[in-house]
Amino acid sequence: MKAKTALDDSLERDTPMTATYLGVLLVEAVILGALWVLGRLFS
Amino acid sequence: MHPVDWAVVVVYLVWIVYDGLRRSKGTDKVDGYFLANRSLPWWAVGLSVMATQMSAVTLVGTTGQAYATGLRFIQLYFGLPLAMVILSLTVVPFFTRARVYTAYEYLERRFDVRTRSLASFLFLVGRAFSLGVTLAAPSVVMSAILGWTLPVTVLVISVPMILYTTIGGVQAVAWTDVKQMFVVVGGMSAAVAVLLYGILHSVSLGDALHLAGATGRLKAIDFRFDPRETYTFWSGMIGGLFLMLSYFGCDQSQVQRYLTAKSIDEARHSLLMSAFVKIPLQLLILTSGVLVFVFYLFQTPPMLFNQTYDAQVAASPAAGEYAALEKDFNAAIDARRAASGRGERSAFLESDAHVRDVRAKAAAVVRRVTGDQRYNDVNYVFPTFITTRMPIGLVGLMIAAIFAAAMSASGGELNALATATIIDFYRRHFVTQASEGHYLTVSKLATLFWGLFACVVAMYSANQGSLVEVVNRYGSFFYGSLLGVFMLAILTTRATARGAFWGVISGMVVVLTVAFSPWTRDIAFLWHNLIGALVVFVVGMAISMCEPLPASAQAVAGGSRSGQ
Repeated sequence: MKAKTALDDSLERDTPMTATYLGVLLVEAVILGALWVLGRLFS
Repeated sequence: MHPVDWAVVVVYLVWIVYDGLRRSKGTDKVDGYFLANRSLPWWAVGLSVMATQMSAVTLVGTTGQAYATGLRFIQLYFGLPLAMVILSLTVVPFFTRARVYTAYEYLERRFDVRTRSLASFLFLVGRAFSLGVTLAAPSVVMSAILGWTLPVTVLVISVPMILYTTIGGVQAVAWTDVKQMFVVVGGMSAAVAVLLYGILHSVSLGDALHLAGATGRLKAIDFRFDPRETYTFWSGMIGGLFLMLSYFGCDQSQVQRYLTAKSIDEARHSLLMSAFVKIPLQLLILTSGVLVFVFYLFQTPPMLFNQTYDAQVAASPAAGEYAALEKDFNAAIDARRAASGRGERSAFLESDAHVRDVRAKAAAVVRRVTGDQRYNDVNYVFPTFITTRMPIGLVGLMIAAIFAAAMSASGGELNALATATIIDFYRRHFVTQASEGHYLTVSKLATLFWGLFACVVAMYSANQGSLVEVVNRYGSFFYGSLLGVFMLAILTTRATARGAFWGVISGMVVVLTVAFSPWTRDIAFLWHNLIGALVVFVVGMAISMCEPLPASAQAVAGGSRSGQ
């Protein structure tokens, strides 16, 4: 069996990113809210 | 164009080719040529992901669309952030750990070679023609604007791109994408600055927003649930989500971008960069279009921005009618300008409606005289503004930005076409044992072949409006099906090879039926992605449940899932 190399280890670097995912959704919610307000304010 | 602007364009083209070729170091093996030895940082991959998605049509077409209808096109991207989160959690670790060159390679490990070849073939056919269209659409507009012939414009855009992509491989594509993104964002920011400078001479920012808003151009969100409407909140959130899942998760031109990342984490970051930046970037582009509309409230625009047929109309019996429309148009523009300046809402809306009416009549005259029933001027609005209203130097920058967008989108696609050809077909079916040097040489030849093929398609499709439409629709025929087969591969261990293969066929048949049936053809194309994916999944699972799960598939599926 092939031994695991340093490259394999670095390639598999896999850390949880829950906070980033929530950040993505929060930013989108803020943008959608801002667009909705913009449309209401200037119509 | 001023010589300074030509100089900017020439310097840009020389620089991008030089830089692309400089980046070809380390591409002496297939792994380097197609995957950059999995060595790229997340921010470079992230910019390359966005550059590949943003074609020149995005710059010239989207701005024109915003000029005509406002910000509502942004809804297409509402599903993108969630899609990126889902892909980061699912396919990114799968593909990275599987050490694949193509997304379809994974399908053979999970199902069989037949499913892999079918998926890769669908990608090759769809992407090869869409690459031609990616080159054709801006070439048609730019040849009219710059006064070049179409073949010259196609070659000016494609030859540098083919050169650096063929010699430098994915590494050259990614690093030139990074620079091209800066050129595009710099150019668009400069355009917004020039527009604001011009507008604020005539009106305050608040009044400008009220004028744009009065015509509905700032209404970005439409909550109506109507499957016939292409851009609504729901079509963007649901149909758009499935489109983005398919595009970023199953289309080799995107998957290959993040396979070049150093690690699973870096690949995720590269996708999440789009999740954060794509909507604001698209808003910047759309805002430019809306600002061009406000700008032309106080400046006189041409009656029609696409003046390709001006001479033909002037020499036709309809010349008198056209001249009368022009006179009417100028009067309507004067009335609209006066109403805009006074802030009289109803007078402004009335005169704006009159302007639109005259423009529609003029376009109808052009169609009648030339027989070109597809004539419109949406894609010509922004290039006309650039070449007639922007200061010297910035015109060159903007032309360079349009070329950059065309090259960055097509370079990634070209590189992906060569990868799928060599890895999924040539190395898998025809020459299975050969040296690295041999595979590298045929990879370069494949890149060159697809580049030349795209040039031919570009020159042909430019005069075949229907072909462009067919190619665009074709994408939605197979995207949903591709997503469906990857859902079968990743989400369940029960799906079998037979289920996956016939599921894809069923998905495509159903989507084609929906697209062409007189009862359902009004359904907007974004929903085709959802329909295709669901049909593949349901049919695939139904067939799979009727047969035992092979032990080998069980092992692969189990192994993949344990890596989650």
